[in-house]
Amino acid sequence: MIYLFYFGLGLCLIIIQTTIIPFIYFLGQFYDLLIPLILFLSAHRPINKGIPLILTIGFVMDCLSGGAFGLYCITYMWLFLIVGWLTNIVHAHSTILLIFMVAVGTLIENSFFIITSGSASLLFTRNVLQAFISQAIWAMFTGAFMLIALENIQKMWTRWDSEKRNT
Amino acid sequence: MFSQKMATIVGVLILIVLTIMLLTITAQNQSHPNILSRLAINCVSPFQELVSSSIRTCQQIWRNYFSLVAVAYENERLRSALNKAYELNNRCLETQRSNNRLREMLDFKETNKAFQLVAAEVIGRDPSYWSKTMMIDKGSTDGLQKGFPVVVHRGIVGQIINTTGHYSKVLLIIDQNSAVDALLQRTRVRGIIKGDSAKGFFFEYVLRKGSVKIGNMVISSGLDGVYPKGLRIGTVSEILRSNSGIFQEIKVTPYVDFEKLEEVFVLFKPPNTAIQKK
Repeated sequence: MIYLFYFGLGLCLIIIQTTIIPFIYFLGQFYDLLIPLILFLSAHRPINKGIPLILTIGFVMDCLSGGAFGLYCITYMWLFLIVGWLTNIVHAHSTILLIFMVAVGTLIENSFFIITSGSASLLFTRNVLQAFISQAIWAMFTGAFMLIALENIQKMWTRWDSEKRNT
Repeated sequence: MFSQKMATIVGVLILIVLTIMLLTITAQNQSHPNILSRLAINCVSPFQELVSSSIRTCQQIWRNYFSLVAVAYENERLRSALNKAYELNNRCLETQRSNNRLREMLDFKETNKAFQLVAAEVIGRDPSYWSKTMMIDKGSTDGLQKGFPVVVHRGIVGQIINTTGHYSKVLLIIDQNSAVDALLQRTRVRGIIKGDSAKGFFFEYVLRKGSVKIGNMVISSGLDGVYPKGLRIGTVSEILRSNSGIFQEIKVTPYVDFEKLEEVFVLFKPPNTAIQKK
């Protein structure tokens, strides 16, 4: 049930970032809103249940995007695995870490996109660097709030679920 | 036999190889939508359409009811622009008539008249910085197919790369995978317009000897088999001539504002229309 909820949340984020975000011009280059969700799932959900969900969300993004098919699926999967591995080493709930986690996730995703585009020279152009910095700044400012909101939703869900079982 | 660390390393290596293989295969066989991807598009796009039309309605309410002062000023400005346009239109009509006469004399084909326009609304955009695509609310049931050009009154927008029943995916010409055979309107110098992932294009393969000036208009040549001849693309904004090499580096600013696209037109030839030779 909770996975269905996360899938619905993922779809909502996809719709927001493909319809509302492009209308808000002052945001400039905004980061992928699904990254905080993936980071959260990576830190709180087991691999065997998290990966199928991540791949489904990535598949929907691949259908709506114009890049190579499977790019989002693979990027999200690697992001899930890398962050899952990192959370075994460091404390995933630290606020400072949360701020940087989404920014790092954004950089990892962009690096994947550059690698698959096949032209490393792109990395050193002004526009690309601007996009990198803009996305990283937005991710640091808003990503941590999204992660905290997701954690609160998770707590509420757990409380609601345990109350339901007790009754 | 294997330690856990070894198994993890082998697993990661296998995943990397699979990743590279999958991306290599899918990058070569793009735009072949299967049932699952059609299903995904058909499930998500109605919601995109709903949200986009809600935003548009809100924008319209704002424009209609709260911006009346600006509208009054704009009305005055437009009236004067309209008067100028009437005059220009008259001159254009004269030019068209003389053009038709000359074409008849030269026995040219009327190509662009054979195209039909289908209006479509933009319902979603690619959020990624690296690929520039958008979704429109017309698909194969409206007669659209892969490869049809998409335009607005200001110029070329892109081409359809994928269609489902009621929705299509459009590859914008600012995408780095997009290319348009183009020429300079003034000097007829030919080259290829390529997107650069930002908001502009590069006009590539233009010979050093070709005369190019800042402000020159770039139009489609019609030789790529996708875009009809004479559609506007952009203006030359920067020219870099290096001491070596046989080509010039030219930057082009597009006429179309790709961030503010709301409605577009899809050009296509009706299947039964044969081009009549006059």
